Amino acid sequence: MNSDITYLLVLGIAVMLGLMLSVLLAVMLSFRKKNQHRRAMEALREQQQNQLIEAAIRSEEGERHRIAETLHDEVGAILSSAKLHLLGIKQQELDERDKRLHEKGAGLLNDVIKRVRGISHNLHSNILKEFGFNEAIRHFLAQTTGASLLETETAMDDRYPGAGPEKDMSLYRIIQELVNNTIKYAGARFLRIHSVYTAGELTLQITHNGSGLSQEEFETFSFKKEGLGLKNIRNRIFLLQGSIHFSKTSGQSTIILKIPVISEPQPSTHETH
Amino acid sequence: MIVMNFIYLYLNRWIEVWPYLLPLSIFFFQRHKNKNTRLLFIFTCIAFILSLAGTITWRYAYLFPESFKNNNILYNAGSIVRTVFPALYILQLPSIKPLRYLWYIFSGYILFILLSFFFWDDIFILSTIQHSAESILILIFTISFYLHLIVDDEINLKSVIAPLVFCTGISVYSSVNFFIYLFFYPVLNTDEHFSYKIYNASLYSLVFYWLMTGLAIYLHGRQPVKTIKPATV
Repeated sequence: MNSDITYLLVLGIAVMLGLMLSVLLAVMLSFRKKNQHRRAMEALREQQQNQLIEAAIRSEEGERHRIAETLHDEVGAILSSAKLHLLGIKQQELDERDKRLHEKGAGLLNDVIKRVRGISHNLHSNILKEFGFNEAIRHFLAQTTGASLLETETAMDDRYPGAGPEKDMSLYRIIQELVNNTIKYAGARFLRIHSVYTAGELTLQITHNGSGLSQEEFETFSFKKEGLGLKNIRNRIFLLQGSIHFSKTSGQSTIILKIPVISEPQPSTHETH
Repeated sequence: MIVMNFIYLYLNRWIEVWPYLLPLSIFFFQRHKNKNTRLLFIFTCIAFILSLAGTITWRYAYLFPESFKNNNILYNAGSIVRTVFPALYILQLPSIKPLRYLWYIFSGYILFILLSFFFWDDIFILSTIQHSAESILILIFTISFYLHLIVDDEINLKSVIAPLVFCTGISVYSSVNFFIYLFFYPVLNTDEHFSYKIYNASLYSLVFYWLMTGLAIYLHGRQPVKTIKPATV
């Protein structure tokens, strides 16, 4: 009787504990399974989002390319033809007033041709394709700020092998947008772009003495409807799996971009220069 | 060695009191207090007072008049508190709200305990019916909670980690104590030495119970992590 109760008691406790631990184990296993499923779903969702962003960026690039081609091949050709016709006018037969008007018209036409070519090159950078990212940035900066009061400086790391045409184009567009924003809104007098390439990572630093954005402002504006440029920057950074950090102190603003680079040599090198 | 023995002896003597200090101290040092931590705190406070009073009555019985020497009423009240508060805690969990049948079981338990103490049980004798009912009710509630966690795909571990820890503590305690209290008097009458041993096992499970309650209070106070997402196209 004595040992029977003892045996029953110990067995009962063991069974109850065993059952309870089994249920707990089942709960933990179910969470593990649900976690795996959730992770797979998240990866799928992220992949879909990446594809969407990629498609949007690609279509944007395609549209830019089409506009650039139209401007260069059609508008540019018509303007060049107009210039030829204008130059065909015999100046000796014109009086002083008409001569002045002719010169003014020719000057304006030259200006328009230059600007159209500039816009066309900005929209579709052939330099990026032919001479690589570093040269494209130098050229872009020289072209964009050449006539303005903004003083610029570039210090690009020539060890950067390029991350592939599409990634470099994205990176180029980010820099383009950031520099344009600086010119438009920051009121800077000096701008410097500096790049360092180390161990599979490209770090780009843009420094200027204008009133730039802080990280919080960037986060806020990039989620607003009207902040299309910043939204594009954010999406491109997300697609490049990089990071961007804005900071500002009194008198200086800094933007640091970090992009992982899986070495994918560019189709053309500096030798073709 | 003597000091160690002394500490061990006192820890053993007051084993029904000091485990409550773990969740209480966690609550006092915690920054973020919410509805859940407050409920667990009130529960711990009431259980602590009853347990402290029960232990003092037992240890210093010679100081009390004859009519106050019996601490069984405190143990029975402690058991009711250990049933009502965890049950209410589980019932108010957002993830468990659709399980309406638990409210009926809880109401049934209250009715059963009232009837039990009116007709069959003596409140001044350690009620094995109440203690066994405590274990059964807690096991039903915790198993329902666990099954709900398994079945519901929307629940993630992070959001229920604190209730899960608390339920682990109370379910392990109830699993150990169900048979101990069911056979409490038969074992005590046949093998007193073994009954002390098994009662010690019950006390060790009580330490685990309050350790897990403390951990649950700590986990309830933690804030969720903020994440940044990319902009939508």
